[in-house]
Amino acid sequence: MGIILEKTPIILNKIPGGTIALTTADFFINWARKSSIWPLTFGLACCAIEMMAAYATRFDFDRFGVFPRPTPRQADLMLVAGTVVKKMASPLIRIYRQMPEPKFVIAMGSCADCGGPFYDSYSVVKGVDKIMPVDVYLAGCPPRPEALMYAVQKLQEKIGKMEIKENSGATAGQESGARREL
Amino acid sequence: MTHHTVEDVFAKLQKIFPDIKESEEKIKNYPTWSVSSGSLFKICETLKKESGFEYLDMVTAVDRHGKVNSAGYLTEPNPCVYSQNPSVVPSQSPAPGAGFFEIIIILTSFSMNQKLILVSRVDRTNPEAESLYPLFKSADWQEREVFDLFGIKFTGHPNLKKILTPDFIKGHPLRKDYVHKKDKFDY
Ligand code: SF4
Repeated sequence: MGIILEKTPIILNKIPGGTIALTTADFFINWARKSSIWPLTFGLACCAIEMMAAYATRFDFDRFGVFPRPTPRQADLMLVAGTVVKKMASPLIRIYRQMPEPKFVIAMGSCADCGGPFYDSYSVVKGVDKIMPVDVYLAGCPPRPEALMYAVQKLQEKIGKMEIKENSGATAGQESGARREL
Repeated sequence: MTHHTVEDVFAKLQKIFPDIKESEEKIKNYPTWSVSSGSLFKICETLKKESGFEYLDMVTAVDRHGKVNSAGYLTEPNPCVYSQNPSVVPSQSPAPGAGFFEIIIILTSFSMNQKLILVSRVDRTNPEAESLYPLFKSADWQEREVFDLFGIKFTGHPNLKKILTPDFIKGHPLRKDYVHKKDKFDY
């Protein structure tokens, strides 16, 4: 992704053979992080179809630097796309803990936000935020790929505000893993 | 020996099993026969070995408990859905033993190009039926599912344990009188 120089805390100086740029470590690290959000695809139900559409040619997530990864060890973002059933909750937590810090979660769709149509079901976790900290909630049943793009842009805004001086940018909830021990 | 029409099969079966009869309500316009749960296994065996119904489509069940219309839908709101306080059993709920389960078995004959539905009533207090596993290996998981969601015990099943719901969900959720107890994910 490019950098908009006018909006960047950056000092540019011409030197023979090119330009030298001086900027803050926060800006540089955040720019790198938000330009290469690699999501772990966690398609659990119908929302996963929209997530797949977002990766495909028409919407083309790659131009945001969003490349789907098949393993949690290479992922920064967990895209929980679909209904989290109680039987899937433990694998979800285990995979979340295997992701390296800093890690982010987008709850995609009403099911992952709050249970959605299954609000009174015996088998559904009513919102993935009951088992792990969520960064962006994306409403819709299912949300369109454009909405998912908007959620990723919101996450990029959030990453842009992170500071490394305290805890490598991770929030307190992210540091401790799940919001509540299960 | 195969028969040409499903009526021939019915007539032949009725000689051996007098309790078999055409069900009043047909499911999806397929031939629907109601049989007693005691002879269910033997009827399936006869159908498989002698009439070419050698493919088991599915095994499922219906809970006929309370005010349900003929299509199986509740005619008034289910009082037991996700009760906030599980110790209070709603007063308008039917008596625990009322009603019955229906085990529904769909068999297919490829030689006759025919589907066949067998409906069998079992008691709600101690639901039990004979497993079809010795006849159709595919009955294994489907009977486990019926056991998990309705609590119908299939005698003779080699591995009758929960298949869908996690271990901490107690009870059988598709029973009409199921009351959900809060578990560790409900808060
Ligand atoms: S929010 Fe809607 S589309 Fe998404 S998983 Fe739930 S039911 Fe399916």
